[in-house]
Amino acid sequence: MPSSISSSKNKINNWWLTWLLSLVLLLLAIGLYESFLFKKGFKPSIEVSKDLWSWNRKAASKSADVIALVGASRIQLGLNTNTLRTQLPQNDIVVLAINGQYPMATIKGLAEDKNFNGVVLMSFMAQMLEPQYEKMQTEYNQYYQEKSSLYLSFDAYLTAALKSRFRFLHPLLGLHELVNYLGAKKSFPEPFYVNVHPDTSAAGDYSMVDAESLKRHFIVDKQSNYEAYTIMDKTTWLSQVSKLSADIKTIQDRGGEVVLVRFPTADEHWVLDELYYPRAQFWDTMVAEMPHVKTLHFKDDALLSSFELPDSSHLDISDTQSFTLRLIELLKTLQIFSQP
Amino acid sequence: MLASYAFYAAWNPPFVLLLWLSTLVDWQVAKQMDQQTVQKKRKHWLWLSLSINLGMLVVFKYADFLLANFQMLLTLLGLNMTFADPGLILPMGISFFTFQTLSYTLDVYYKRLKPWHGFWDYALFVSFFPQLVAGPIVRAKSFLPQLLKQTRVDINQFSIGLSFFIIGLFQKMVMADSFFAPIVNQVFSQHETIDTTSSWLGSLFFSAQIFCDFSGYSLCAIGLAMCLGFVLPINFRSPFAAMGFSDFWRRWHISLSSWLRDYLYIPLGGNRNGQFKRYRNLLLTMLLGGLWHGAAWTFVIWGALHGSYLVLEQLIKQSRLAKRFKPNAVIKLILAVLTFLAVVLAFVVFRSENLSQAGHIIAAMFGISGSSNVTTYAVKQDAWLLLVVVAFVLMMASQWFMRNKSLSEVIAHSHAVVRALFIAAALLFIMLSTGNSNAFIYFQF
Repeated sequence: MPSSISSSKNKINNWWLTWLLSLVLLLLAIGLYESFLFKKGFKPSIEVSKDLWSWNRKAASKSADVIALVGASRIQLGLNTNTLRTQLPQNDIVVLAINGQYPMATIKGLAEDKNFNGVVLMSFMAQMLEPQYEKMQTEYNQYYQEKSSLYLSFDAYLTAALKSRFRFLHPLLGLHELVNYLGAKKSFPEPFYVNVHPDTSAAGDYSMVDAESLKRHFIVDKQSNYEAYTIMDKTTWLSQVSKLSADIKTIQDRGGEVVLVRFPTADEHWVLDELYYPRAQFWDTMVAEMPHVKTLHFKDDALLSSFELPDSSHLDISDTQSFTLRLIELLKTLQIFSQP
Repeated sequence: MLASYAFYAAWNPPFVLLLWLSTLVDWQVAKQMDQQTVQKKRKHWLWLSLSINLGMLVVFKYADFLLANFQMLLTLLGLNMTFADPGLILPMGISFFTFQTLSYTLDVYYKRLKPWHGFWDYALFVSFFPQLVAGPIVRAKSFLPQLLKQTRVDINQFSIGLSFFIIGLFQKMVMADSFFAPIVNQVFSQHETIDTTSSWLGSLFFSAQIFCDFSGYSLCAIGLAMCLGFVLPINFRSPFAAMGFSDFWRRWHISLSSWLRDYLYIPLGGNRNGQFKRYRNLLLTMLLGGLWHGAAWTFVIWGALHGSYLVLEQLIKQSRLAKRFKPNAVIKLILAVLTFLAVVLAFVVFRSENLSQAGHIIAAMFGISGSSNVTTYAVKQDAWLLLVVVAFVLMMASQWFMRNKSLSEVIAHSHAVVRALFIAAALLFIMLSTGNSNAFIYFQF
């Protein structure tokens, strides 16, 4: 032991005081902050890191009873995973959706993975097959293939479990975000309307925001997004459909299944979808081209198309349970799930 | 020891074999050397250890670099040959554990140490998990005898160890990853259009980042070892308060600089054999020290810069004026600032992905830019930047305050309430900074 340490043995008793006081001060600070956030209406949330996604991705290849939710924010916010787990106790629900990114790379990854033979529920829309969007989730899939490790994934899983219990660990309330917000707005942030759960599913509570202005913003964004690119021609569409069909066939040949679900969009959003990617020209031709693939379009079901979408594209937390129950009913008619 | 192997295997299990290979080779070589009385045969055994350990380093760490440069040379000679990328993964901490095992063999070779009697003790010395992947590089002479003592860890030692661990974690997670890294990444990614202020901020903050990152890891390792009853050598002693470059290298990555001194600089001849050879030895040692950090020309140039700094310092010290000169406090401060600025300049090369990036940043630092599209204040002037600047100033002030003090003494002699306030605040900041963490920079070496 260094002399500097042994020379200070007269301070031994002080260490008990140090640790006790440190603990009390830390718990007090966390407790006060946590209760302040609770009173303000914040809820715990996590962030979907590549390591956490890799944890889920690994779980997807573990058994044939897996139902993998693939897509972007619409399926992430639209399906209530608690309801799925309660209604389908024989299945393992795995969320592979990534906010803001179309999932073609993930479908390809699942097709290439010989260990995957579960069910894929894929939130599908025609724009996904535009060649420029094909690689959107590649980074996550490549990370899973090349860099993820059991240690890093488990660490991410534990971190997510911890963050899902404490508001003060909210990723948008980190030191950086908080200091900048306080510096710019001179006030504390308001609670966030979207919160991500530890299984990486999410919930949007639109009663907390001005949904109308969010919808206007969303539609302006969507319009400029559609206008930014030339829509693919029929030949490209059919060639892209054929690639997707081949990936699905590969999964089916191993005993797995893929269901393409067109999640609801509403109001001007749906008008834009129909303007740029008309159902008859895209969805219907795709269904005709891939008779072996099971599909569900929200417009084909009165209940699915009746849900109100506050921002024109995502379901509110209050509707996810009934939406999920209806979707399960429809999937059962397609004989997707093994009966318990 | 099992925990150490499990720790290393958690990253990539097959690479445990390399750790075993290095352990077995040097254990056996040291034993054989000790039994030999003929110097020539001892040397053969030493060469075997050097070939295997340095061979592993060359294959896993430098193969890509050597092949790429060989290919470039052939192209210059008009021969167009393409070599396949070996695509080898760099085993974590290989530079650290090979240097550690080599130090044991070299100590036995130079008869500073007798081969250790217990193999498992030796295996633990090589694989001891707190410092296995990023140092400090421990010497057998200081570590192995600790295994003979059945010491009980008292509250004092445990508490100082735990305090070290918390301070190290604070340095890494809050200072390095949360405060400095985002601004540094932004500056270096916009190097072609960077403005003078931002390039200075990026360079100064990178120096702070690499210090907090590496010193943070070292403190965690030393602290954890202390909690387990082991004493590891201090790796950093307020390096940014150094006055002169030899002083800097007595304070920065001490376990590596002392390794290079004892096993490279002195065997090369050290200060003996005249001034010219002394400067040559300094330059060679620092060049190899630079290359130890990674297989890239940026590291070689970083080493060359530090070698040149040391030579220049020696030349100045040899002058008559310098011998008569007695610096007062202000001059000492100026010397420390100049040393720091030269170190910062070298760190720009260290951080850069290539020489062109380093050139852009250094040019921008001196107001020279090759681009007509210079960004106005690439680093956002917001509340966060103010906080980071304050953190940087506090870090520099703390280094000056700690210049001639040891951290364990400062901790041990602080009032319990002050300690508690600091520990609670550090833990709170750590918790609020989760999510910004990156791998330790020195893991890649």
